[in-house]
Amino acid sequence: MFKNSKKVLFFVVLLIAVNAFANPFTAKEKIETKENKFLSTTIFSQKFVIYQYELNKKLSFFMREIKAKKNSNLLIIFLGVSFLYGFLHSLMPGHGKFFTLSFMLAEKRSFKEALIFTSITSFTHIFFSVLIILFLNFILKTTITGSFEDISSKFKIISYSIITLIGLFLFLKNVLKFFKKEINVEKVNKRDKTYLYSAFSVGLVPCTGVILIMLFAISINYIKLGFLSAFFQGLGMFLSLCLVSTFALLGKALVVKKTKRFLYINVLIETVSALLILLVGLFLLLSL
Amino acid sequence: MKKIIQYFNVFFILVSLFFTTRNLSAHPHMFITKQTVFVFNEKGLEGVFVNWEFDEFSSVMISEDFDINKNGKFEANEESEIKKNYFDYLKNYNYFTDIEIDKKPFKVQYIKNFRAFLIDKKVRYSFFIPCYVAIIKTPKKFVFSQYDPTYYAVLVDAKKKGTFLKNAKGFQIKKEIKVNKKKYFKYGAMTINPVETTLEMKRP
Repeated sequence: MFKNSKKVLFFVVLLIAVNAFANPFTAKEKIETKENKFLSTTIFSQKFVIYQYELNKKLSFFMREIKAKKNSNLLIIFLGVSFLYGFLHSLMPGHGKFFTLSFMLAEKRSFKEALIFTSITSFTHIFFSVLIILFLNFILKTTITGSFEDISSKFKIISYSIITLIGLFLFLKNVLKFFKKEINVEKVNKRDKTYLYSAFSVGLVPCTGVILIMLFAISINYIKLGFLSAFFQGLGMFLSLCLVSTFALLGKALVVKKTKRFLYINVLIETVSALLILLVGLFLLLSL
Repeated sequence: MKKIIQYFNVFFILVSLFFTTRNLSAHPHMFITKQTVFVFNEKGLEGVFVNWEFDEFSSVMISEDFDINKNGKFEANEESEIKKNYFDYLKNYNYFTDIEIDKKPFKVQYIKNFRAFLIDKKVRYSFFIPCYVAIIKTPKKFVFSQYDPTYYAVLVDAKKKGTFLKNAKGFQIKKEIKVNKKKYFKYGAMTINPVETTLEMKRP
């Protein structure tokens, strides 16, 4: 196991080099960027982004067409495109996949709880995006370009603070298990609803993609279409997060068997995952 | 035990993928279709004229904020507000432009003639990047690419007239557009290689 300690140290060090996302058109200070030649493994190529661009163009086209022709067939296609866009967009970096994976590994959770976790994360993500745009547009009646970044960064502070605290709590809880020797894979505290707060805090960061589509719907005076698109994008995001949590739970089930020796491995996975949540949450918070 | 170590290796590689990036949560929200015109004069290359067209969603965001009188076009005062609030910060990123002249980097310090338009409900920016390269009988290599290193925006060449030369008569110019696979940027599990236009220029 100690063979992996260098890797743990490696990614902790790399944390320091990571930046949080910002709009370069409005960011007054430069985000330091460097060419990165490490690990040339690529899961998504640039073509994947081009597909998103094509979907993006189709969404705006369908929104205008539906408004002009009130065609229900077009509406069905539009909702399908929204779902696909939500799914593909949430496969890109961000959107809570990392935290979903870590939370699923950090605690003993069932598939049912994983589904609840991912649905809360996805729809909180969508809900706050919609709420922000409605607030900016109809209540504050202010500019979007600057205000969104400001509000978004406030939501990020809240979200990353909660994530960091939950990470700390889970880490300490898992470390205490070692000392108290309370290692039992069957023991699940049904009353423990930490995962619900975790899901909520992960989803709290608004999605710029949803905001832009909502804003477009408002600009063509067809806000209902924006709500529908946001909901179907949420379903797409829910699917991608479900895949991540299924991967985490199945992976953990494959590694951990119900023998005493494996119980320690299980707690070790949970402790490392909780530590990751704590470190990433803290890093994201400090990088704002 | 070996199996467990293997699983841990996979786990750490996956986690490392997240962290071998400059931008943990970066992913594109803005799509820009670009046209690039290499402008020549009698001495050689004068600079590069660039035209960016934003996608409809981003266009709405910009026009909602800057088309103050909502007349569907940008007047001079609106244009200067756009430049000040939604363009000038790009200087931090050399206006998303990478230039190499005979393998030496050329930093874009300033641009000229910035204009912003609202055409067919899409926002367009145009500007000129001065970059003087005298063309002589010995060939010179000029490499040009545009990309957002923060990955908030993705810049894609226009399908028609994506890149072309202006006033290039009298010079021998070989143009090549290709992905530079030796240069790469990582965003999570994603790798982006810049698309470069290379001009090999000489006098006959």
